[in-house]
Amino acid sequence: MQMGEGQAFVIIDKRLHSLLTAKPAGCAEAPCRVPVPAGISICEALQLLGVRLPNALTPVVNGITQDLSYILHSGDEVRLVVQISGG
Amino acid sequence: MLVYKADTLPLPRAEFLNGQSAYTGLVLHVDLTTPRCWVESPPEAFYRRFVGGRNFILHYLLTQTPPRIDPLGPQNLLIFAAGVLSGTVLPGTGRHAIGAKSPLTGALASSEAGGWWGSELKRAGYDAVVIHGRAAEPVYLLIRDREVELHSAKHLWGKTTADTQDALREAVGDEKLRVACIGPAGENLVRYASVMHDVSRAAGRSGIGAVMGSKNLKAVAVRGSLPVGLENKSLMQTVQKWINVHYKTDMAWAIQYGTAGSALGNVLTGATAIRNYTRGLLSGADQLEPEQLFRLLVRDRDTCNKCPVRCKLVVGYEDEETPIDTRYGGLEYESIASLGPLCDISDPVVIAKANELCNAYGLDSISTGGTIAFAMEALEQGALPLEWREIAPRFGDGESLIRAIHQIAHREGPGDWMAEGSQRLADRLGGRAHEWLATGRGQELPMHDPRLKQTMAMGYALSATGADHMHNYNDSFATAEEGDICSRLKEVGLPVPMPLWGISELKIEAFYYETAFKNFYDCAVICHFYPYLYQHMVEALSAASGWDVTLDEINRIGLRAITLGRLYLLREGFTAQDDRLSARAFYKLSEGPIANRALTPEEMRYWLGVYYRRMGWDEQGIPSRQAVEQLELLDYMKEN
Ligand code: SF4
Repeated sequence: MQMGEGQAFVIIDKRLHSLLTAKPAGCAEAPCRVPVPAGISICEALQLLGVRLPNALTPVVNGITQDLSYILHSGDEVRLVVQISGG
Repeated sequence: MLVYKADTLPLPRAEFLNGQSAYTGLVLHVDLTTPRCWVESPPEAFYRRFVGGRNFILHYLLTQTPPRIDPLGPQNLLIFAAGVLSGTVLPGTGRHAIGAKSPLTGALASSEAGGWWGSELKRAGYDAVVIHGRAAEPVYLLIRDREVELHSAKHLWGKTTADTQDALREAVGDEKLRVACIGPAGENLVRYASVMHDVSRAAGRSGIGAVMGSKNLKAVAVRGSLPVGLENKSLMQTVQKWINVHYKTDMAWAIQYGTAGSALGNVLTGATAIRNYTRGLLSGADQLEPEQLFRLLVRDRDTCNKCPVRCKLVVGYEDEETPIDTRYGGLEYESIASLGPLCDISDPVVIAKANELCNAYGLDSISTGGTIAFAMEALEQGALPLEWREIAPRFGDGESLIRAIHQIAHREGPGDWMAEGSQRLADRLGGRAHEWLATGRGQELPMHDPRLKQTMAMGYALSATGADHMHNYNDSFATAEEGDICSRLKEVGLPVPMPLWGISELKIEAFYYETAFKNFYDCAVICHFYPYLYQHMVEALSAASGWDVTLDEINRIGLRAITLGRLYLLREGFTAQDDRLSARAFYKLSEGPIANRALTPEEMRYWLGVYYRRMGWDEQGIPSRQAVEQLELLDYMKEN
């Protein structure tokens, strides 16, 4: 895992928080804005935070939809949208 | 009018009557022209090969309708088909499929509905009902414990779906009568009219309601007391035990808010098309926040047969100006998106009212929203006739949206043109109108934007039903280590997670397996929200039928539905050139979450070719004899 300069932020809203099977450190209650190091992928950031849920997530970084492999830059703000199954 | 007493009709299989099998072994045929009915007893091999649902529909369309018939003529069939698993104790199996030749696309119509109707049909002693011909005047069909009655429905013609159900329940004196019916839209042959069940469960897509209307058939009501049993109860219990634990976490989203809970998230990720695919941002999107939606509109929860999830919403609004009748049930994501953001509307009350009207009139909410959004753009571009400028729908104008739905259902003014669907409307307007179209095989695209979900876009282009999101691969769902889709992909040896963007050889492989699995679901017939894996389906189908089912068999049942669908398309005159999407699927946005993202038509064509090869089809998308033979479908190839 390669750390870059500065921090990015992961936003955990109430909906996502309620569906998580493990709550991330520093986010006992939602909504919260958790700092993560820049230079790592969103996937790695979620592992670092211990974010786990039984559905897929789509990250939206600064308003743009990205893949989980997207490498975070300093100041990026990541909103995570829960994907539901089926229709 | 016409009555067949149960003792004059064949008995279901002895195993079914003893409560030791999940399928009756009987298919009821009703000819509305003569009228008369007869009962077919297909052999066990037929059930094992096809299981039910979409495969049954395709079997009857391919063998009992001539090619290129008028979908609204008496030669078309209307097929209600449960599956071997329908109505069993397994949660998620309270479903059935309805099919016909589609009056919207000229291709296959095959749509599924939840509720109780499918399970009740099995309890009434039949696995499927095939409707032939056309009644001379409006009728309804009543099936109770194998007994079949056909009655005049003249007094029901013109009634909304809830009023029809209420009237039938009162006439029969049974509050639990399960009613599948059309509303005024089906009677008026709107090409995307739906068949409604229990008032709020739609077999919505591709105009099945118009086929029912063309047959002068207002309703099919069922009630039964026969047991839907199992061959192997303890085997089924292993699947029940698994789902009874897993639904609480894996379907927590559904328990919480149903599909309505995804509306805001889908706008934020770009999954929802806005203003007929021309904008990336929706003003007032926050109004779709689930907690707020619930506080404002949701009065209760509802469910389907034997489902503990209760994902269905009961929506109401007690307001003199915009009252919303709770009988018409709830908002689903697809309805919110197509009647809301697609028309540049974010007011939840307007969207809920529009949804109520679609359910009352029996209209497919996706095609209704899609066609109205197209008309809104046509108005903005100055392409509509001058006399309609004041009465046609306008982007962002809720009142005009509601008016347009009334117009469509009754074919009034511009509603008469809109009732034909956006493709025919574009043909009629000419000029640049095709540039504003968002369709696949002539059917309005579902609310999963093909510019975000690019493998799904290919599935839209390929499907024999026209663009459909249900029997498709969802790019956004397979991006995790966990979740049902990823677990199924792991079961067939594929690596996960899959990338979100683009298409690749690997994603084609995932598409191949996942679409086969989803088609199996539509044959069995199972709720797509349930996170079952291949292994669960192997055990459930074995337990229901007594067959020694394998994982490969589950896959092949789904592949049969895809292949029969392809043979049907070819028979009806479609070619590989028709496997495409209209212009808006490729239109790049300059703003919002999916700015500058979209496949090109050339990229899509390339990946279609890769999929054809994976299926054993030639470059023209024609299945090889060998591919058809491997699926034991050669007898259907001869029909071409
Ligand atoms: S999850 Fe929802 S749609 Fe599926 S069976 Fe249950 S209530 Fe019906």
